Amino acid sequence: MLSVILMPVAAIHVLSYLTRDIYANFDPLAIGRVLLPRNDFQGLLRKELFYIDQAKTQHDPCGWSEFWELRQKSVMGLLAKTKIDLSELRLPPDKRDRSAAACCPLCYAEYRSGFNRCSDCSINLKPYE
Amino acid sequence: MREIFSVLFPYIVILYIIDCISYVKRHDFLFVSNFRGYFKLINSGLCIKSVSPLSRTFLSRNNPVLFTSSGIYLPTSEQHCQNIFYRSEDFTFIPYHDMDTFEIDGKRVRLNHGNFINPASIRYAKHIGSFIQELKDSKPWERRDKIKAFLDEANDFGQIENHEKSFTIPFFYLKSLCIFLFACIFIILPIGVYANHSVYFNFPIFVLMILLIYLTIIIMSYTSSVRFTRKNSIKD
Repeated sequence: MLSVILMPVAAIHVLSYLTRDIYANFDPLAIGRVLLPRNDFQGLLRKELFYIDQAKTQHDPCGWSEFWELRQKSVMGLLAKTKIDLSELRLPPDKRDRSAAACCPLCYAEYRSGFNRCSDCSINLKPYE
Repeated sequence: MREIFSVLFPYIVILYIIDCISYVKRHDFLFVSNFRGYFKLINSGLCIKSVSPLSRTFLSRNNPVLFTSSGIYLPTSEQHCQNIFYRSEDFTFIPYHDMDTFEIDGKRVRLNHGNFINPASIRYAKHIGSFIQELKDSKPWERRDKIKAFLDEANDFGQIENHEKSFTIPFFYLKSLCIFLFACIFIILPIGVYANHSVYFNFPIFVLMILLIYLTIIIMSYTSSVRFTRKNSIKD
């Protein structure tokens, strides 16, 4: 609200300022489920499941995996309510470029042969079959 | 006055564009609605939010604290903000029995004077702060169920759906005023300033009108937000 008072032209966006934090207590996935188009929501869900899978592989004696197991269960609960098939989410993307040899499993960027890692996500590429 | 506005108008446009720019940190999620009311997600970086006066933005952040039955994991450094993945070495573990001091300081939750949790908003800081306190006061065997319930509650999209349905009513007049202010500044004002037949344009009355709309928006946004928060106090 301070920016609206200091910069009167910002009053045009006052609605954004007022409601910006109303869903702050919710998981981005739950907000995405309601607000995003289905395809965008599926992309968000797919990425989140990927992050959870990556986090679960790390070992820490203090119960690191306990949190990620609970988080995964919670996301799976959301998945069940939205009637999205998990196997559908895990499917590799369709090849968009004929010359592409591999793609990033996270951002789906395609790479020609000779590349092993995604330059944006820093993870190993998945070769096309 | 026409000359003053012809000089001022480009600066007004620049200020508006600045207001439309937003920086989204990594692990933050900014949901922005466009002209048609559909939302898009902005994950990280500098972005232009929708320029429409009808646009809405919602900010959310992935849990900044990882809860376990024996303690919590807090991100230690900027390293976590740079990595897209969660790596255990970017977090520090604080057992519940080692939590001596605990304060909610605006947007931040401070633990043991040195460790900070930076949630996306004051609302979430309060929410997360009270939950950590609850876990600390609970028996160790009760904590797992409480964490599960906390995570499930954060994923309860039914509450958001109800909110979205009730959203338009309390903000209807405010929204109309925002559109009117937008039209006055970016359609009527340039016509008055740059069009040839602007001799009929009464600038003092126009400025007075804009000031009135602006003050009404300020007052209405205050009252609407109080009413809306009271009526829809979800998980405060």
